[in-house]
Amino acid sequence: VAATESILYTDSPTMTVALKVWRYDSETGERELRDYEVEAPEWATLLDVLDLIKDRVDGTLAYRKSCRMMICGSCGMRMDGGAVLACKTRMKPLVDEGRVPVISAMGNLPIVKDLVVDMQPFWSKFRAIGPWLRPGYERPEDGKEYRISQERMNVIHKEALCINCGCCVSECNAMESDPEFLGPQALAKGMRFVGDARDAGTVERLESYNSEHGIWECTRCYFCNERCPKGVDPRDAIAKLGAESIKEGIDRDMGAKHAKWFVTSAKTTGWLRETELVPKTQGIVSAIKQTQFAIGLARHGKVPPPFPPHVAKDVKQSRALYDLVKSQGRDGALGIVQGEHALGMIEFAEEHGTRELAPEIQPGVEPPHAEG
Amino acid sequence: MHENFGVFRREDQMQRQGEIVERLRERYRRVVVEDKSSLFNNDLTQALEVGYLLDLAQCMVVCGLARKESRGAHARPHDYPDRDDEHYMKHTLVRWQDGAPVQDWKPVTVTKWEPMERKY
Repeated sequence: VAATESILYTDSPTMTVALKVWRYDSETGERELRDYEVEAPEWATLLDVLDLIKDRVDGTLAYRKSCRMMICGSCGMRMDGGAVLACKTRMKPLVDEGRVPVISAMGNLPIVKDLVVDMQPFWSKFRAIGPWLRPGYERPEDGKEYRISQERMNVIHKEALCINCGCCVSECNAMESDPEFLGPQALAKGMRFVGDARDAGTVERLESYNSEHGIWECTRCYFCNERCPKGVDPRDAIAKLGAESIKEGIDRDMGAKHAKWFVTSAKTTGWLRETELVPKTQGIVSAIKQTQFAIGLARHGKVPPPFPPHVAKDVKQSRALYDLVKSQGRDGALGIVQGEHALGMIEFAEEHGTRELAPEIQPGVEPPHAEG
Repeated sequence: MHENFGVFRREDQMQRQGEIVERLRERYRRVVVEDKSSLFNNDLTQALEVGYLLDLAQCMVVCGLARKESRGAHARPHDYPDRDDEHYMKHTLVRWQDGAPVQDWKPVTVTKWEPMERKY
């Protein structure tokens, strides 16, 4: 025993880590919140702590792991209700705060045992989006290698970082209400191929991602962006898929119609034309069925008056904005700036006093830094 | 293995690692699998894997000691810093026999690409 310990604790100060773990056995249905406490090196991650528990306290504790360096995507689990990669989560800050975190299995997937979930639903959705390249590109005339522009690469850069850990799926609110929803991971992977300049299946893919359990089911809660340990920002990927779909004329879904009506509202009245929103989104028949509901809303002052004048005072600004975006030719995924990328651009613009786009980062070229 | 059997190897460290592996194999005979369930029992799979890792570690020790030269990821800067094609231009073979690794050699078949020392 002494030999093992000497390796584990090489010159490192230790700390006492306390955890609560939701134990579960799917065969018996038994469920129990168990307390654990171990002495761990200060650099220990949640995964290191689980390893110590399994080694020294309780060999029956089940969890998945492999690379222990944030690349295999095996150790997704929940800490205090939010999905994390155990190997990415350092315990020292929690110990300093005196917190005793509750560790449980990921959400939206059936639990097999303790912290191990059945990934089958995850993989079948992954497979359903066709996660392989359908090559459709010409060999360059000069016979040299195939080249992709940095601009096109930037469109799928984040999506390509996904390690299939399931943290986004665990937190997905839309999947909680519809377990069939393709979900953030599969759709982000879908965007990785839709945005790939070499892929020939774009329209076919978009058609399938626009199906009943596709992109428009996303409720835009942004939990996937929040919880992704790799910065994939799946919600941004779903937004890009929406933009690509509309660009390709695939707009039969209510979600697409809804989005388009917002655009129409902006360029015509400058206000959201709410009264027309329901018929434009859901169709006339469905709108009539909801008349009763609408009257109820109106009685309580929840519906704007349907009669003109219903044009915003500053409508010119709204129309100018529409024209600006239109003139920039930012249709489709190339026009989507959200998440970290967008924040970077906004910060850059603020630093430089103009609202020009931040320059794209070129390989081998030092990017400009904001002063201070 | 991490400390004594990396890329850069010393005779004494390799010897010592052999003894450590020997002791661990002795302990492994009394290994206990705490988890008795048939459901996702990675206590059991890990115990099995440790057994295979110990077999493999012992093979590495025997073969590392036998190759008295430096080649690729087997470097002995203290006693045999150079590549020795005369004696060691051959594959290392190892087979498990009567509970222990037996080390052997196999000649290299040279085809299109002539093996040569790395000079970069």
